[in-house]
Amino acid sequence: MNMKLNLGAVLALGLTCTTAFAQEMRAPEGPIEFTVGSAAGGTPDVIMRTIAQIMNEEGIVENPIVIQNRSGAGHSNAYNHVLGLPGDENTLLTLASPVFTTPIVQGTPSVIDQITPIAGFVQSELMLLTTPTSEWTGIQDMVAAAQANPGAVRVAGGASGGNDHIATGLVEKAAGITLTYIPHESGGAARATFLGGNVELHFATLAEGMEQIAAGTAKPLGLLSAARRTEAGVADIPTLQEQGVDVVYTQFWGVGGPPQMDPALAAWWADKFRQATETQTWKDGLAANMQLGNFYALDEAKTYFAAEQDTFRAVLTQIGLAK
Amino acid sequence: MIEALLQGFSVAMMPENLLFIFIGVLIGQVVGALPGVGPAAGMALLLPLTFGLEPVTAIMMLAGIMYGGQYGGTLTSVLINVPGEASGVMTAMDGHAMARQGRAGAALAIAAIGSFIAGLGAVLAVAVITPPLASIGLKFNAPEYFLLALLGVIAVGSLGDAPIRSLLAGVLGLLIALVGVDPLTGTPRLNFGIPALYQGIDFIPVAIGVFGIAEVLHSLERSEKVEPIRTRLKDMWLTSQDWAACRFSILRGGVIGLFVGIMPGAGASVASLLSYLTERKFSKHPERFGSGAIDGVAAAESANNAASHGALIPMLSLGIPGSASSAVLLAALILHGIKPGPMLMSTESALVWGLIASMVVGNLFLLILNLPMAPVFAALLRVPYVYLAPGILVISLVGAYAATLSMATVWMCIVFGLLGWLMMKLDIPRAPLVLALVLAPLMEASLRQALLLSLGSPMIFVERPISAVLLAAVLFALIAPIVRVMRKRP
Amino acid sequence: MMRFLQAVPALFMICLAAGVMIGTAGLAFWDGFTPGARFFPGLLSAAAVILSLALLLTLQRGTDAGRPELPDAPGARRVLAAMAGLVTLALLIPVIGLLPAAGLFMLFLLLVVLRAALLPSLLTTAILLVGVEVIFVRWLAVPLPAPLFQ
Repeated sequence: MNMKLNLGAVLALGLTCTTAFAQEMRAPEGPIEFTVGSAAGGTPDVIMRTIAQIMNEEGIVENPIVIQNRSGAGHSNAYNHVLGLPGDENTLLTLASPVFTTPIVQGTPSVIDQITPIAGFVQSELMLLTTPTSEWTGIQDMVAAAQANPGAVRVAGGASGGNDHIATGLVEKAAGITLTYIPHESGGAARATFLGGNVELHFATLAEGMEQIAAGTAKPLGLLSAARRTEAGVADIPTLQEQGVDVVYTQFWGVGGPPQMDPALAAWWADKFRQATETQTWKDGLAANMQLGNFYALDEAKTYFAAEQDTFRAVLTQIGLAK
Repeated sequence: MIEALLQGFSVAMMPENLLFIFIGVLIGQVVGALPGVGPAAGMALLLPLTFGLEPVTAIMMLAGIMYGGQYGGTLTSVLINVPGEASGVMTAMDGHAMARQGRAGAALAIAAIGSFIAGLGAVLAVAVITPPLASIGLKFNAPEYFLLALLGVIAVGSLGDAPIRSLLAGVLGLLIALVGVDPLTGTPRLNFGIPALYQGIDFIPVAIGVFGIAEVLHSLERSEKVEPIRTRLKDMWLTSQDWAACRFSILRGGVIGLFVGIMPGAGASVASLLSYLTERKFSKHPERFGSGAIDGVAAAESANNAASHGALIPMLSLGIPGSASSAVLLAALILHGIKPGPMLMSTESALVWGLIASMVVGNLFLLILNLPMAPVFAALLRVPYVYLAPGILVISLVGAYAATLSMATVWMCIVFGLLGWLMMKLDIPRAPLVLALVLAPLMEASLRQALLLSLGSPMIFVERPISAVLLAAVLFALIAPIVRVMRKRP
Repeated sequence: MMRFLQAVPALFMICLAAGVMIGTAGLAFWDGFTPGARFFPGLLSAAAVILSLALLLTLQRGTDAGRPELPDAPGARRVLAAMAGLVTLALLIPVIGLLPAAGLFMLFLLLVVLRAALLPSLLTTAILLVGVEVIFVRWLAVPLPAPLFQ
């Protein structure tokens, strides 16, 4: 009797859920491809593999999910593949900064204006590092040095027009200084240049930066965030903003569907990504990697991506890369 | 430290781990032998399968794919002259020539032995001196990379029987590398508005085309009855002269490979090229290099395996991947919830030492697997070439497609196949082209990075000690041939 | 004819160098502290021209300029047929899918170009297709191009 009642209650709950969302959500059929524009091992790749694993293992998404690395050509192999599948129901595109910047640099139509925005779900704050032996104690010391000797302060960063380059451009503009940006083929190569003591500055995500600081191979000059972190050890690192250099810049990742994706399908995916990011596994991962989990779905995501695109275009124009 | 290593062995010897190390090296052997796929892509494709495993087991298995791939890549280089990745180009030069002489078995055997010895040495180096080696690796930066690449490009001029034609092929490779994008500023360059060319032309379609497809096209010209390469059983095995010729090649190759491997910016391809060229200097019969010198195979193979292990040093101690495959390994660590970085060796010592011990075991598996199999693989060449040729073409193209999932790569393979065939017809050597293509971005980007580091002063090449030594080597490489020519004239 | 063939690489490289210089027009030779995007193209074009002239000079002097060898007529026909087959293969892959296209290509090459025996040809094709299916599709889960109208 008791049992029956419970079953009935569950059934009723299930029914209300279905009716509440029936109009706007529809599940895709068959296996799903998450298209990733970076090679295996790149941050977007790791993020998508992690979330796909959570979706499948915790039963959030029943359809098998495959990660495909359509790497190369500044993510254009990946986004052109997805742009070429209008209305497709089984492919999602991973959104990382090259999806925004490659079209701006190459002078091709914006990708983000064509795809169906689904969600922005993870962000990484950045910190500015200097060498452990440096005399600088804060960003203003660096600014003073750069003002005294324009171009003499060097930054080792990833690819030209990438996140590190954008961050450098923002710092230059906010502080009114000129830095020498040295691009590298990968973030790892840039870190090697920095650790070898060849340059003064380097941008790192919080997790990477804290590792370096703990190992005594780097010293923080400030966070590029709007507010300080709360964790012990990180909490005493000031933001650039509070030191008088008004820069807030975070890396972010998201997903989108092909052009003309059925809105019901996009809503279904947005819901699934929300569920996946609410799991303990995902939250633990965010905490371990010191990432942020601000969630933007559908129209919010569209606005968010559009604003980021404007930032990218402005900075790329400022550093002379926009076409 | 001995204690830590023993603890590592106790982890690696657990039956489940042994099984997955074996599966890993076996998979590596297979994907390494697929042209175009290679260890990095193989690891990425199989990464999801490791999610159910313990992190230590998963990392051991993936590392097995990584170095197993080096052994597997030898197969295609030697048997069908298709280097599946850049580090196999030097192996193909002499290895395939040996195969044509019916000595494929010996080439494969020495490659396996050389890889094993050099791999083992490199693993020990990883175990004993990782932190100091990593800091040596960091002493190499843009100025050193530029000079190293320049040295390589000058040296490719000496591959082949006429410097002018070799250099011309090298310049062609460098010109191909210009396509796509300026490696430093990201300015689009010579991409003709074709999206597939935005980031330049990758090594894989060029190597598959210029070596594999061209080779098959060339063989199709000859009349119907192409003789299968004769392989007699007694030619399969190493002779004592072979071993005498190779002992020190393996040693030198291993040391060079290790040192190049620990530099985060230079990989197994630079290692095998430098090792091959060094070996030719040491050899008593330098004229045989390029036409089936077994010590050339030994040097190239031991160097690339040592380099692929050495690339783990910056990865484990600094969190900087030294190669494409160690980047995938790094990602696997993250996916399994382990944070790589400078603290890894202290926070995850069981994992790190387990991995090191597993590489000893895995290399042993590969040796045991490869030695008896060398004659068997070599016997594949007994299949009449008529039936082999179309298969090589199809597998090469499928492998190229699988590497990028783009038809553009397939088209590039065909275009470069035609180019390679024309080069064969016109007697222009092909190896310099492919090597120059690999070295070009390193050369161009690091010259400009070096000048940015020095804020425009060319003195940076002299002021840094390692750089100064390399500069002297470059000058010597440039001047020595000129002096030789001058002396010849009465 | 022989001399012309010997000169082909030099002529090709000179044309290529000119093409590179035209293609990079508008990029900068020097960019602040460092060489610009056109520096290496310029340097390499110059090297290509110098080396090509050196090759032509050795040709003129009759010293070593390579030994080009052209295939005989049936050989050339087979190579051209194989190239045509490759191009057709690449064109067919997106339309009928990779495996069917590869099968047709194998049979074309074996039976038409190489005139191999029917039975072993069918066998080789079958083995290869099964191998590709098992290794690439089943095992490595590579999404090979499927037929356009499934």
